[in-house]
Amino acid sequence: MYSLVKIELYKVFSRKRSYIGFIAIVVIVLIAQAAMLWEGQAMHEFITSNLSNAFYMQGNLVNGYLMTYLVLNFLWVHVPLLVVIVTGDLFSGEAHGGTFRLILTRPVSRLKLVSVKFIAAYIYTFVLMFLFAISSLGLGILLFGKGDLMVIFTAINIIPETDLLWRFIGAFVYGFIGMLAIASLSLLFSAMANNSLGPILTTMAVIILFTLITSFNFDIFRSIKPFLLTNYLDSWQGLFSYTVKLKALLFDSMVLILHCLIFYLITVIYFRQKDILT
Amino acid sequence: MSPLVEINNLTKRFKSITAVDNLSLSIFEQDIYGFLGPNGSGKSTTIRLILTLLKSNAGSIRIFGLPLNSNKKTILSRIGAFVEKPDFYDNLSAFKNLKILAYYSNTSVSSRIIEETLDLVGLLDRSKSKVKTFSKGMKQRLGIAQAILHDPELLILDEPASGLDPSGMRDIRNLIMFLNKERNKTIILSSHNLQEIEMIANRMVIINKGKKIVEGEVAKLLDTHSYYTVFEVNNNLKAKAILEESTFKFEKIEIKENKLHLFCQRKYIPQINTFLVNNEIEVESIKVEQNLEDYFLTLT
Repeated sequence: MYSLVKIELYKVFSRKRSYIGFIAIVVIVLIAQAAMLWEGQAMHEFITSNLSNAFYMQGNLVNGYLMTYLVLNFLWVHVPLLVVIVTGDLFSGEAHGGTFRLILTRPVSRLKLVSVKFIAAYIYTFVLMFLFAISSLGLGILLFGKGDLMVIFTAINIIPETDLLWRFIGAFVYGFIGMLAIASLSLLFSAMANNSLGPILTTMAVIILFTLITSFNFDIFRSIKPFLLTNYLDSWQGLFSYTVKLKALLFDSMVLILHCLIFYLITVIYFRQKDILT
Repeated sequence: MSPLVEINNLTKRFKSITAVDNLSLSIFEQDIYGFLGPNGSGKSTTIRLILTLLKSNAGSIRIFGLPLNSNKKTILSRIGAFVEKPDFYDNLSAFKNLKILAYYSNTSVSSRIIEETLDLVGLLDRSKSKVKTFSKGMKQRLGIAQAILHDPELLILDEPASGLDPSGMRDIRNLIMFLNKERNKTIILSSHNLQEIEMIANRMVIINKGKKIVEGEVAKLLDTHSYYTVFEVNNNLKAKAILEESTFKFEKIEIKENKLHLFCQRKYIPQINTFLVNNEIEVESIKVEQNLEDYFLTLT
Protein backbone atom coordinates (compact mmCIF):
# COMPACT_ATOMS: atom_id res chain seq x y z
CA MET A 1 0.00 0.00 0.00
CA TYR A 2 2.80 2.39 0.94
CA SER A 3 4.56 1.76 -2.40
CA LEU A 4 1.33 2.36 -4.30
CA VAL A 5 0.78 5.68 -2.50
CA LYS A 6 4.36 6.64 -3.39
CA ILE A 7 3.73 5.81 -7.05
CA GLU A 8 0.47 7.73 -7.06
CA LEU A 9 2.16 10.77 -5.57
CA TYR A 10 4.99 10.45 -8.07
CA LYS A 11 2.42 10.43 -10.88
CA VAL A 12 0.63 13.45 -9.40
CA PHE A 13 3.76 15.51 -8.87
CA SER A 14 5.35 14.60 -12.20
CA ARG A 15 2.54 16.40 -14.04
CA LYS A 16 2.76 20.08 -14.85
CA ARG A 17 -0.89 20.74 -14.01
CA SER A 18 -0.23 19.85 -10.36
CA TYR A 19 1.91 22.95 -10.04
CA ILE A 20 -0.72 25.30 -11.48
CA GLY A 21 -2.48 25.33 -8.11
CA PHE A 22 0.72 26.00 -6.17
CA ILE A 23 1.78 28.81 -8.47
CA ALA A 24 -1.73 30.31 -8.54
CA ILE A 25 -2.03 30.31 -4.74
CA VAL A 26 1.33 32.01 -4.23
CA VAL A 27 0.77 34.53 -7.05
CA ILE A 28 -2.72 35.48 -5.82
CA VAL A 29 -1.53 35.87 -2.23
CA LEU A 30 1.45 37.96 -3.36
CA ILE A 31 -0.78 40.20 -5.48
CA ALA A 32 -3.19 40.65 -2.58
CA GLN A 33 -0.30 41.47 -0.24
CA ALA A 34 1.19 43.95 -2.69
CA ALA A 35 -2.19 45.66 -3.01
CA MET A 36 -2.49 45.79 0.78
CA LEU A 37 1.00 47.25 1.04
CA TRP A 38 0.04 50.14 -1.21
CA GLU A 39 -3.63 50.64 -0.47
CA GLY A 40 -4.18 48.84 2.85
CA GLN A 41 -4.04 51.82 5.17
CA ALA A 42 -6.34 53.96 2.99
CA MET A 43 -8.81 51.09 2.60
CA HIS A 44 -8.84 50.45 6.32
CA GLU A 45 -9.44 54.09 7.10
CA PHE A 46 -12.32 54.15 4.66
CA ILE A 47 -13.96 51.05 6.18
CA THR A 48 -13.53 52.25 9.74
CA SER A 49 -14.30 55.95 9.05
CA ASN A 50 -17.71 55.74 10.71
CA LEU A 51 -16.33 53.83 13.67
CA SER A 52 -13.57 56.36 14.28
CA ASN A 53 -16.21 58.92 15.22
CA ALA A 54 -17.36 56.75 18.09
CA PHE A 55 -14.18 54.85 18.99
CA TYR A 56 -10.62 55.71 19.63
CA MET A 57 -8.44 53.54 17.36
CA GLN A 58 -4.98 52.69 18.61
CA GLY A 59 -2.24 50.39 17.35
CA ASN A 60 -1.48 48.67 14.03
CA LEU A 61 -4.76 47.32 12.65
CA VAL A 62 -3.38 46.85 9.11
CA ASN A 63 -1.24 43.85 9.95
CA GLY A 64 -0.42 40.33 8.82
CA TYR A 65 -3.46 38.87 10.56
CA LEU A 66 -5.87 41.24 8.83
CA MET A 67 -4.13 40.49 5.55
CA THR A 68 -4.54 36.72 6.09
CA TYR A 69 -8.16 37.13 7.15
CA LEU A 70 -8.97 39.07 3.98
CA VAL A 71 -7.11 36.60 1.75
CA LEU A 72 -8.94 33.72 3.46
CA ASN A 73 -12.29 35.27 2.53
CA PHE A 74 -11.12 36.14 -0.92
CA LEU A 75 -9.58 32.81 -1.86
CA TRP A 76 -12.17 30.51 -0.40
CA VAL A 77 -14.05 30.53 -3.68
CA HIS A 78 -10.98 29.83 -5.80
CA VAL A 79 -9.17 27.19 -3.78
CA PRO A 80 -11.76 24.47 -4.67
CA LEU A 81 -11.05 25.05 -8.34
CA LEU A 82 -7.31 24.67 -7.77
CA VAL A 83 -7.94 21.44 -5.87
CA VAL A 84 -10.23 19.84 -8.45
CA ILE A 85 -7.95 20.69 -11.39
CA VAL A 86 -5.71 17.92 -10.07
CA THR A 87 -8.00 15.61 -8.09
CA GLY A 88 -10.73 15.62 -10.75
CA ASP A 89 -8.26 14.09 -13.18
CA LEU A 90 -6.87 11.28 -11.05
CA PHE A 91 -9.25 8.58 -12.33
CA SER A 92 -10.47 10.11 -15.56
CA GLY A 93 -6.92 10.96 -16.65
CA GLU A 94 -5.99 7.28 -16.43
CA ALA A 95 -9.16 6.25 -18.24
CA HIS A 96 -8.62 8.85 -20.96
CA GLY A 97 -4.92 8.00 -21.32
CA GLY A 98 -5.61 4.27 -21.50
CA THR A 99 -3.31 3.52 -18.56
CA PHE A 100 -6.06 1.77 -16.57
CA ARG A 101 -5.56 -1.09 -19.06
CA LEU A 102 -1.99 -1.37 -17.84
CA ILE A 103 -2.73 -1.08 -14.14
CA LEU A 104 -5.90 -3.12 -13.81
CA THR A 105 -4.48 -6.12 -15.69
CA ARG A 106 -2.06 -6.44 -12.79
CA PRO A 107 -2.75 -8.02 -9.40
CA VAL A 108 -3.90 -4.84 -7.71
CA SER A 109 -7.39 -4.66 -6.26
CA ARG A 110 -9.71 -1.90 -7.34
CA LEU A 111 -10.46 -1.13 -3.70
CA LYS A 112 -6.77 -0.54 -3.09
CA LEU A 113 -6.47 1.57 -6.21
CA VAL A 114 -9.39 3.80 -5.18
CA SER A 115 -7.98 4.14 -1.65
CA VAL A 116 -4.53 5.03 -2.94
CA LYS A 117 -5.95 7.70 -5.24
CA PHE A 118 -7.96 9.21 -2.39
CA ILE A 119 -4.87 9.28 -0.17
CA ALA A 120 -2.79 10.92 -2.93
CA ALA A 121 -5.54 13.49 -3.56
CA TYR A 122 -5.70 14.28 0.17
CA ILE A 123 -1.93 14.68 0.37
CA TYR A 124 -1.97 17.01 -2.63
CA THR A 125 -4.77 19.04 -1.00
CA PHE A 126 -2.76 19.23 2.21
CA VAL A 127 0.30 20.52 0.37
CA LEU A 128 -1.84 23.11 -1.42
CA MET A 129 -3.46 24.28 1.82
CA PHE A 130 -0.13 24.30 3.64
CA LEU A 131 1.31 26.51 0.93
CA PHE A 132 -1.77 28.71 1.20
CA ALA A 133 -1.30 29.04 4.96
CA ILE A 134 2.44 29.68 4.77
CA SER A 135 2.22 32.21 1.96
CA SER A 136 -0.68 34.17 3.44
CA LEU A 137 -0.03 33.94 7.20
CA GLY A 138 3.76 33.59 7.18
CA LEU A 139 4.44 36.16 4.52
CA GLY A 140 1.66 38.41 5.87
CA ILE A 141 3.23 38.59 9.32
CA LEU A 142 6.67 39.02 7.77
CA LEU A 143 5.55 41.95 5.62
CA PHE A 144 2.94 43.63 7.80
CA GLY A 145 3.85 42.52 11.30
CA LYS A 146 1.46 41.36 14.02
CA GLY A 147 -1.41 43.18 15.66
CA ASP A 148 -5.01 42.90 16.80
CA LEU A 149 -7.61 41.82 14.29
CA MET A 150 -10.81 43.73 13.79
CA VAL A 151 -13.51 41.56 12.28
CA ILE A 152 -16.75 43.16 11.14
CA PHE A 153 -19.15 40.28 10.63
CA THR A 154 -22.46 40.15 12.52
CA ALA A 155 -20.84 42.32 15.15
CA ILE A 156 -17.57 44.19 15.53
CA ASN A 157 -15.03 41.90 17.12
CA ILE A 158 -11.58 43.04 18.04
CA ILE A 159 -9.51 39.99 18.77
CA PRO A 160 -6.23 40.61 20.57
CA GLU A 161 -2.99 39.61 18.86
CA THR A 162 -2.18 36.99 21.49
CA ASP A 163 -5.47 35.20 20.82
CA LEU A 164 -5.17 35.00 17.04
CA LEU A 165 -2.63 32.43 15.92
CA TRP A 166 -4.61 29.40 17.09
CA ARG A 167 -7.73 30.80 15.39
CA PHE A 168 -5.92 31.07 12.08
CA ILE A 169 -4.43 27.58 12.43
CA GLY A 170 -7.94 26.33 13.21
CA ALA A 171 -9.35 28.15 10.17
CA PHE A 172 -6.77 26.56 7.88
CA VAL A 173 -7.34 23.10 9.39
CA TYR A 174 -11.09 23.52 8.98
CA GLY A 175 -10.58 24.80 5.43
CA PHE A 176 -8.41 21.77 4.72
CA ILE A 177 -11.25 19.45 5.82
CA GLY A 178 -13.64 21.37 3.56
CA MET A 179 -11.26 20.99 0.63
CA LEU A 180 -10.99 17.25 1.36
CA ALA A 181 -14.76 16.99 0.91
CA ILE A 182 -14.53 18.84 -2.40
CA ALA A 183 -11.59 16.68 -3.51
CA SER A 184 -13.63 13.56 -2.63
CA LEU A 185 -16.58 14.78 -4.68
CA SER A 186 -14.32 15.43 -7.66
CA LEU A 187 -12.77 11.96 -7.27
CA LEU A 188 -16.23 10.42 -7.37
CA PHE A 189 -17.05 12.23 -10.61
CA SER A 190 -13.60 11.40 -11.93
CA ALA A 191 -14.16 7.67 -11.38
CA MET A 192 -17.36 7.90 -13.41
CA ALA A 193 -15.84 9.78 -16.35
CA ASN A 194 -13.51 8.89 -19.18
CA ASN A 195 -12.33 12.40 -19.97
CA SER A 196 -10.40 14.91 -17.89
CA LEU A 197 -12.52 18.03 -18.25
CA GLY A 198 -15.92 16.54 -17.38
CA PRO A 199 -15.32 15.82 -13.67
CA ILE A 200 -13.60 19.17 -13.07
CA LEU A 201 -16.46 21.12 -14.63
CA THR A 202 -19.13 18.96 -12.98
CA THR A 203 -17.59 19.39 -9.52
CA MET A 204 -17.37 23.14 -9.96
CA ALA A 205 -20.92 23.29 -11.31
CA VAL A 206 -22.17 21.37 -8.25
CA ILE A 207 -20.21 23.63 -5.88
CA ILE A 208 -21.57 26.79 -7.54
CA LEU A 209 -25.13 25.44 -7.54
CA PHE A 210 -24.95 24.35 -3.90
CA THR A 211 -23.36 27.67 -2.91
CA LEU A 212 -26.22 29.57 -4.57
CA ILE A 213 -28.81 27.43 -2.81
CA THR A 214 -26.95 27.92 0.48
CA SER A 215 -26.82 31.69 0.06
CA PHE A 216 -30.50 32.15 -0.85
CA ASN A 217 -32.67 32.52 2.19
CA PHE A 218 -35.82 31.02 0.73
CA ASP A 219 -38.05 28.64 2.67
CA ILE A 220 -37.96 26.14 -0.17
CA PHE A 221 -34.18 25.71 0.22
CA ARG A 222 -34.10 25.82 4.02
CA SER A 223 -34.96 22.14 4.43
CA ILE A 224 -32.26 20.91 2.03
CA LYS A 225 -29.46 23.21 3.19
CA PRO A 226 -28.27 20.93 6.02
CA PHE A 227 -27.57 18.22 3.46
CA LEU A 228 -25.46 20.41 1.19
CA LEU A 229 -21.72 20.30 1.44
CA THR A 230 -21.36 24.04 0.81
CA ASN A 231 -23.45 24.83 3.87
CA TYR A 232 -20.47 23.83 6.01
CA LEU A 233 -17.57 25.27 4.00
CA ASP A 234 -17.50 28.73 5.57
CA SER A 235 -17.98 27.65 9.17
CA TRP A 236 -14.34 28.62 9.81
CA GLN A 237 -15.69 32.18 10.15
CA GLY A 238 -16.94 31.06 13.56
CA LEU A 239 -13.35 30.99 14.76
CA PHE A 240 -13.29 34.77 14.51
CA SER A 241 -16.33 35.34 16.75
CA TYR A 242 -15.77 36.75 20.18
CA THR A 243 -16.65 33.42 21.72
CA VAL A 244 -15.84 30.44 19.56
CA LYS A 245 -18.51 27.73 19.49
CA LEU A 246 -16.18 24.77 19.34
CA LYS A 247 -18.95 22.18 19.52
CA ALA A 248 -20.68 23.63 16.45
CA LEU A 249 -17.36 23.73 14.59
CA LEU A 250 -16.64 20.16 15.53
CA PHE A 251 -20.09 19.11 14.35
CA ASP A 252 -19.61 20.88 11.01
CA SER A 253 -16.17 19.25 10.62
CA MET A 254 -17.76 15.85 11.25
CA VAL A 255 -20.37 16.52 8.59
CA LEU A 256 -17.61 17.35 6.09
CA ILE A 257 -15.68 14.20 7.05
CA LEU A 258 -18.90 12.22 6.64
CA HIS A 259 -19.20 13.65 3.13
CA CYS A 260 -15.65 12.43 2.40
CA LEU A 261 -16.54 8.98 3.65
CA ILE A 262 -19.76 8.79 1.66
CA PHE A 263 -18.07 9.96 -1.56
CA TYR A 264 -15.28 7.43 -0.98
CA LEU A 265 -17.70 4.55 -0.46
CA ILE A 266 -19.76 5.42 -3.55
CA THR A 267 -16.53 5.64 -5.58
CA VAL A 268 -15.41 2.22 -4.33
CA ILE A 269 -18.78 0.61 -5.14
CA TYR A 270 -18.96 2.24 -8.55
CA PHE A 271 -15.35 1.63 -9.55
CA ARG A 272 -15.38 -2.04 -8.55
CA GLN A 273 -18.20 -2.62 -11.03
CA LYS A 274 -16.92 -0.34 -13.75
CA ASP A 275 -16.14 -1.79 -17.16
CA ILE A 276 -12.82 -0.49 -18.46
CA LEU A 277 -13.56 0.25 -22.09
CA THR A 278 -10.95 2.91 -22.90
CA MET B 1 -3.91 -32.49 -20.71
CA SER B 2 -6.09 -29.96 -18.91
CA PRO B 3 -6.34 -26.51 -20.48
CA LEU B 4 -4.39 -23.57 -19.12
CA VAL B 5 -7.29 -21.28 -20.00
CA GLU B 6 -10.81 -22.64 -20.13
CA ILE B 7 -13.71 -20.43 -21.11
CA ASN B 8 -17.24 -21.76 -20.87
CA ASN B 9 -20.39 -20.14 -22.24
CA LEU B 10 -19.02 -16.66 -21.74
CA THR B 11 -21.45 -13.85 -22.53
CA LYS B 12 -21.00 -10.09 -22.39
CA ARG B 13 -23.71 -7.64 -23.30
CA PHE B 14 -23.51 -3.87 -23.66
CA LYS B 15 -27.12 -2.77 -23.31
CA SER B 16 -28.83 -4.39 -26.33
CA ILE B 17 -25.59 -5.44 -28.05
CA THR B 18 -24.19 -8.89 -27.36
CA ALA B 19 -20.44 -8.51 -27.83
CA VAL B 20 -19.53 -12.03 -26.68
CA ASP B 21 -22.17 -14.68 -27.19
CA ASN B 22 -21.96 -17.97 -25.31
CA LEU B 23 -18.29 -18.39 -26.16
CA SER B 24 -16.36 -21.49 -25.11
CA LEU B 25 -12.73 -22.24 -25.86
CA SER B 26 -9.64 -23.95 -24.45
CA ILE B 27 -6.01 -22.91 -24.53
CA PHE B 28 -3.25 -25.30 -23.57
CA GLU B 29 0.21 -24.82 -22.07
CA GLN B 30 2.87 -23.74 -24.57
CA ASP B 31 0.27 -22.81 -27.18
CA ILE B 32 0.58 -19.81 -29.38
CA TYR B 33 -3.15 -19.46 -29.64
CA GLY B 34 -4.43 -17.32 -32.49
CA PHE B 35 -7.52 -15.34 -31.64
CA LEU B 36 -8.93 -14.34 -34.98
CA GLY B 37 -11.86 -12.29 -36.06
CA PRO B 38 -12.71 -9.17 -38.02
CA ASN B 39 -12.86 -5.78 -36.31
CA GLY B 40 -15.76 -5.70 -33.87
CA SER B 41 -16.02 -9.48 -33.68
CA GLY B 42 -15.58 -9.57 -29.90
CA LYS B 43 -11.87 -10.43 -29.65
CA SER B 44 -10.90 -7.48 -27.48
CA THR B 45 -14.01 -7.84 -25.34
CA THR B 46 -13.13 -11.49 -24.65
CA ILE B 47 -9.57 -10.52 -23.79
CA ARG B 48 -10.81 -7.76 -21.47
CA LEU B 49 -13.08 -10.31 -19.79
CA ILE B 50 -10.11 -12.66 -19.27
CA LEU B 51 -8.14 -9.76 -17.79
CA THR B 52 -11.03 -8.69 -15.51
CA LEU B 53 -11.27 -5.27 -17.16
CA LEU B 54 -14.91 -6.13 -17.91
CA LYS B 55 -17.51 -8.03 -15.93
CA SER B 56 -19.25 -10.86 -17.76
CA ASN B 57 -23.03 -11.34 -17.82
CA ALA B 58 -22.79 -15.11 -17.90
CA GLY B 59 -20.32 -17.97 -18.21
CA SER B 60 -17.08 -18.85 -16.47
CA ILE B 61 -13.35 -18.49 -16.96
CA ARG B 62 -10.77 -20.80 -15.41
CA ILE B 63 -7.09 -19.99 -15.72
CA PHE B 64 -4.26 -22.19 -14.34
CA GLY B 65 -7.06 -24.48 -13.13
CA LEU B 66 -8.53 -21.77 -10.88
CA PRO B 67 -11.83 -19.91 -11.27
CA LEU B 68 -11.00 -16.32 -12.25
CA ASN B 69 -13.71 -14.67 -10.17
CA SER B 70 -12.43 -15.94 -6.85
CA ASN B 71 -8.68 -15.96 -7.65
CA LYS B 72 -8.24 -12.72 -9.51
CA LYS B 73 -5.08 -11.60 -7.74
CA THR B 74 -3.26 -14.95 -7.98
CA ILE B 75 -4.16 -15.38 -11.63
CA LEU B 76 -3.34 -11.84 -12.76
CA SER B 77 0.08 -12.08 -11.11
CA ARG B 78 0.86 -14.91 -13.55
CA ILE B 79 -0.42 -13.09 -16.65
CA GLY B 80 1.19 -10.41 -18.78
CA ALA B 81 -0.99 -8.46 -21.15
CA PHE B 82 -0.92 -5.97 -23.94
CA VAL B 83 -4.43 -4.72 -24.69
CA GLU B 84 -5.05 -2.88 -27.95
CA LYS B 85 -3.14 0.42 -28.03
CA PRO B 86 0.17 0.80 -26.19
CA ASP B 87 -0.73 3.67 -23.85
CA PHE B 88 1.74 4.79 -21.20
CA TYR B 89 2.50 7.73 -18.96
CA ASP B 90 3.82 9.81 -21.82
CA ASN B 91 5.58 12.38 -19.66
CA LEU B 92 7.71 9.68 -18.05
CA SER B 93 10.61 7.68 -19.50
CA ALA B 94 10.33 4.08 -20.67
CA PHE B 95 12.34 2.99 -17.63
CA LYS B 96 10.10 4.91 -15.19
CA ASN B 97 6.98 3.50 -16.81
CA LEU B 98 8.24 -0.04 -16.34
CA LYS B 99 9.34 0.72 -12.79
CA ILE B 100 5.85 1.98 -11.93
CA LEU B 101 4.13 -0.98 -13.56
CA ALA B 102 6.42 -3.40 -11.73
CA TYR B 103 5.12 -2.01 -8.43
CA TYR B 104 1.55 -2.71 -9.51
CA SER B 105 2.59 -6.27 -10.38
CA ASN B 106 3.46 -6.77 -6.73
CA THR B 107 6.81 -8.27 -7.63
CA SER B 108 10.27 -7.04 -6.88
CA VAL B 109 11.72 -6.12 -10.24
CA SER B 110 15.25 -4.76 -10.08
CA SER B 111 16.63 -2.06 -12.36
CA ARG B 112 18.76 -4.77 -13.99
CA ILE B 113 15.66 -6.78 -14.95
CA ILE B 114 14.00 -3.65 -16.37
CA GLU B 115 17.11 -2.96 -18.45
CA GLU B 116 17.28 -6.59 -19.61
CA THR B 117 13.62 -6.44 -20.65
CA LEU B 118 14.16 -3.18 -22.51
CA ASP B 119 17.18 -4.75 -24.18
CA LEU B 120 15.10 -7.76 -25.23
CA VAL B 121 12.64 -5.52 -27.07
CA GLY B 122 15.43 -3.33 -28.48
CA LEU B 123 14.73 -0.22 -26.43
CA LEU B 124 17.64 -0.15 -23.99
CA ASP B 125 19.29 2.82 -25.69
CA ARG B 126 16.04 4.79 -25.31
CA SER B 127 15.30 3.77 -21.72
CA LYS B 128 15.71 7.32 -20.42
CA SER B 129 13.67 8.95 -23.21
CA LYS B 130 10.15 10.11 -22.49
CA VAL B 131 7.54 7.84 -24.04
CA LYS B 132 5.93 10.78 -25.84
CA THR B 133 9.00 10.88 -28.10
CA PHE B 134 8.52 7.22 -29.14
CA SER B 135 7.26 6.05 -32.54
CA LYS B 136 4.27 3.71 -32.69
CA GLY B 137 6.55 0.71 -33.25
CA MET B 138 8.62 1.60 -30.20
CA LYS B 139 5.49 1.95 -28.10
CA GLN B 140 4.30 -1.47 -29.31
CA ARG B 141 7.62 -2.96 -28.23
CA LEU B 142 7.43 -1.20 -24.89
CA GLY B 143 3.91 -2.64 -24.61
CA ILE B 144 5.35 -6.12 -24.92
CA ALA B 145 8.15 -5.23 -22.48
CA GLN B 146 5.65 -4.25 -19.78
CA ALA B 147 3.74 -7.48 -20.41
CA ILE B 148 6.78 -9.72 -19.89
CA LEU B 149 8.45 -7.65 -17.17
CA HIS B 150 7.26 -9.80 -14.25
CA ASP B 151 8.02 -13.06 -16.09
CA PRO B 152 4.40 -14.26 -16.48
CA GLU B 153 3.47 -17.75 -17.60
CA LEU B 154 0.67 -16.59 -19.85
CA LEU B 155 0.96 -13.69 -22.28
CA ILE B 156 -2.12 -12.09 -23.80
CA LEU B 157 -1.28 -9.88 -26.75
CA ASP B 158 -4.14 -8.02 -28.38
CA GLU B 159 -3.14 -6.94 -31.91
CA PRO B 160 0.49 -6.28 -30.93
CA ALA B 161 1.57 -5.64 -34.53
CA SER B 162 -1.35 -3.42 -35.43
CA GLY B 163 -0.38 -0.42 -37.54
CA LEU B 164 3.25 -1.45 -37.94
CA ASP B 165 5.24 -1.58 -41.16
CA PRO B 166 6.34 -5.03 -42.46
CA SER B 167 9.70 -4.80 -40.74
CA GLY B 168 8.08 -3.83 -37.43
CA MET B 169 5.59 -6.69 -37.80
CA ARG B 170 8.43 -9.13 -38.40
CA ASP B 171 10.26 -7.91 -35.29
CA ILE B 172 7.16 -8.41 -33.15
CA ARG B 173 6.55 -11.83 -34.71
CA ASN B 174 10.11 -12.94 -34.00
CA LEU B 175 9.84 -11.68 -30.44
CA ILE B 176 6.61 -13.62 -29.84
CA MET B 177 8.14 -16.81 -31.23
CA PHE B 178 11.25 -16.29 -29.09
CA LEU B 179 9.12 -15.85 -25.96
CA ASN B 180 7.20 -19.02 -26.76
CA LYS B 181 10.12 -21.22 -27.75
CA GLU B 182 12.92 -19.92 -25.52
CA ARG B 183 11.01 -18.58 -22.52
CA ASN B 184 8.22 -21.20 -22.58
CA LYS B 185 5.39 -18.68 -22.49
CA THR B 186 1.89 -19.63 -23.45
CA ILE B 187 0.63 -16.89 -25.73
CA ILE B 188 -2.82 -15.74 -26.74
CA LEU B 189 -2.41 -13.62 -29.84
CA SER B 190 -5.34 -11.65 -31.12
CA SER B 191 -5.35 -10.47 -34.72
CA HIS B 192 -7.55 -9.86 -37.71
CA ASN B 193 -4.76 -10.97 -40.01
CA LEU B 194 -4.98 -14.64 -40.94
CA GLN B 195 -1.48 -14.77 -42.44
CA GLU B 196 0.06 -13.40 -39.26
CA ILE B 197 -1.66 -16.10 -37.21
CA GLU B 198 -0.74 -18.82 -39.69
CA MET B 199 2.92 -17.88 -39.44
CA ILE B 200 3.23 -18.22 -35.69
CA ALA B 201 0.22 -19.85 -34.04
CA ASN B 202 -0.23 -23.59 -33.54
CA ARG B 203 -3.90 -23.40 -32.51
CA MET B 204 -6.55 -20.83 -33.23
CA VAL B 205 -10.14 -19.83 -32.84
CA ILE B 206 -12.12 -17.68 -35.23
CA ILE B 207 -14.94 -15.64 -33.82
CA ASN B 208 -17.47 -13.40 -35.47
CA LYS B 209 -20.23 -11.34 -33.86
CA GLY B 210 -19.10 -12.71 -30.53
CA LYS B 211 -19.66 -16.34 -31.53
CA LYS B 212 -17.14 -19.07 -32.14
CA ILE B 213 -16.96 -20.05 -35.81
CA VAL B 214 -14.21 -22.65 -35.59
CA GLU B 215 -11.44 -23.73 -33.21
CA GLY B 216 -8.54 -26.13 -33.66
CA GLU B 217 -5.01 -26.63 -34.96
CA VAL B 218 -4.01 -23.96 -37.44
CA ALA B 219 -2.45 -26.33 -39.99
CA LYS B 220 -5.49 -28.62 -40.08
CA LEU B 221 -7.99 -25.81 -40.26
CA LEU B 222 -6.21 -23.99 -43.05
CA ASP B 223 -5.36 -27.04 -45.16
CA THR B 224 -8.92 -28.25 -45.48
CA HIS B 225 -10.25 -24.93 -46.65
CA SER B 226 -9.99 -23.16 -49.97
CA TYR B 227 -8.10 -19.99 -50.74
CA TYR B 228 -7.69 -17.65 -53.60
CA THR B 229 -4.44 -18.54 -55.32
CA VAL B 230 -3.08 -16.24 -58.00
CA PHE B 231 -0.96 -17.81 -60.76
CA GLU B 232 1.08 -15.64 -63.08
CA VAL B 233 1.51 -17.70 -66.26
CA ASN B 234 2.54 -17.00 -69.84
CA ASN B 235 -0.83 -18.08 -71.32
CA ASN B 236 -3.87 -17.45 -69.14
CA LEU B 237 -6.49 -18.70 -71.60
CA LYS B 238 -4.73 -22.00 -72.27
CA ALA B 239 -4.02 -22.52 -68.59
CA LYS B 240 -7.66 -21.89 -67.68
CA ALA B 241 -8.91 -24.23 -70.40
CA ILE B 242 -6.70 -27.20 -69.45
CA LEU B 243 -7.38 -26.72 -65.75
CA GLU B 244 -11.14 -26.73 -66.36
CA GLU B 245 -10.78 -30.00 -68.24
CA SER B 246 -8.55 -31.53 -65.56
CA THR B 247 -9.62 -33.67 -62.62
CA PHE B 248 -8.83 -30.90 -60.12
CA LYS B 249 -11.82 -29.53 -58.32
CA PHE B 250 -12.06 -25.75 -58.20
CA GLU B 251 -14.71 -23.77 -56.49
CA LYS B 252 -13.88 -20.91 -58.81
CA ILE B 253 -11.49 -20.24 -61.69
CA GLU B 254 -11.21 -16.88 -63.47
CA ILE B 255 -8.85 -14.47 -65.21
CA LYS B 256 -8.51 -11.08 -63.54
CA GLU B 257 -5.95 -8.35 -64.22
CA ASN B 258 -4.11 -10.69 -66.58
CA LYS B 259 -3.66 -13.27 -63.85
CA LEU B 260 -5.25 -16.63 -63.24
CA HIS B 261 -7.28 -16.73 -60.01
CA LEU B 262 -8.12 -20.13 -58.57
CA PHE B 263 -10.21 -20.83 -55.51
CA CYS B 264 -9.03 -24.20 -54.32
CA GLN B 265 -7.66 -26.16 -51.39
CA ARG B 266 -4.09 -25.42 -50.56
CA LYS B 267 -2.93 -29.03 -50.76
CA TYR B 268 -3.61 -29.02 -54.55
CA ILE B 269 -1.34 -26.07 -55.30
CA PRO B 270 1.92 -28.04 -55.87
CA GLN B 271 0.07 -30.54 -58.07
CA ILE B 272 -1.53 -27.75 -60.09
CA ASN B 273 1.89 -26.17 -60.57
CA THR B 274 3.35 -29.47 -61.84
CA PHE B 275 0.31 -30.02 -64.05
CA LEU B 276 0.68 -26.59 -65.69
CA VAL B 277 4.42 -27.01 -66.26
CA ASN B 278 3.87 -30.49 -67.76
CA ASN B 279 1.40 -28.89 -70.15
CA GLU B 280 4.02 -26.38 -71.31
CA ILE B 281 2.65 -23.46 -69.34
CA GLU B 282 5.35 -21.28 -67.80
CA VAL B 283 4.49 -20.49 -64.19
CA GLU B 284 6.16 -17.23 -63.18
CA SER B 285 4.73 -16.86 -59.69
CA ILE B 286 2.20 -18.34 -57.27
CA LYS B 287 0.66 -16.28 -54.51
CA VAL B 288 -1.82 -17.54 -51.96
CA GLU B 289 -4.11 -14.74 -50.92
CA GLN B 290 -5.41 -15.65 -47.55
CA ASN B 291 -7.67 -13.15 -46.00
CA LEU B 292 -10.11 -13.61 -43.25
CA GLU B 293 -13.10 -12.64 -45.34
CA ASP B 294 -12.40 -15.40 -47.88
CA TYR B 295 -11.83 -17.85 -45.11
CA PHE B 296 -15.17 -16.90 -43.58
CA LEU B 297 -16.82 -17.55 -46.93
CA THR B 298 -15.57 -21.11 -46.84
CA LEU B 299 -16.79 -21.58 -43.29
CA THR B 300 -20.26 -20.12 -43.56
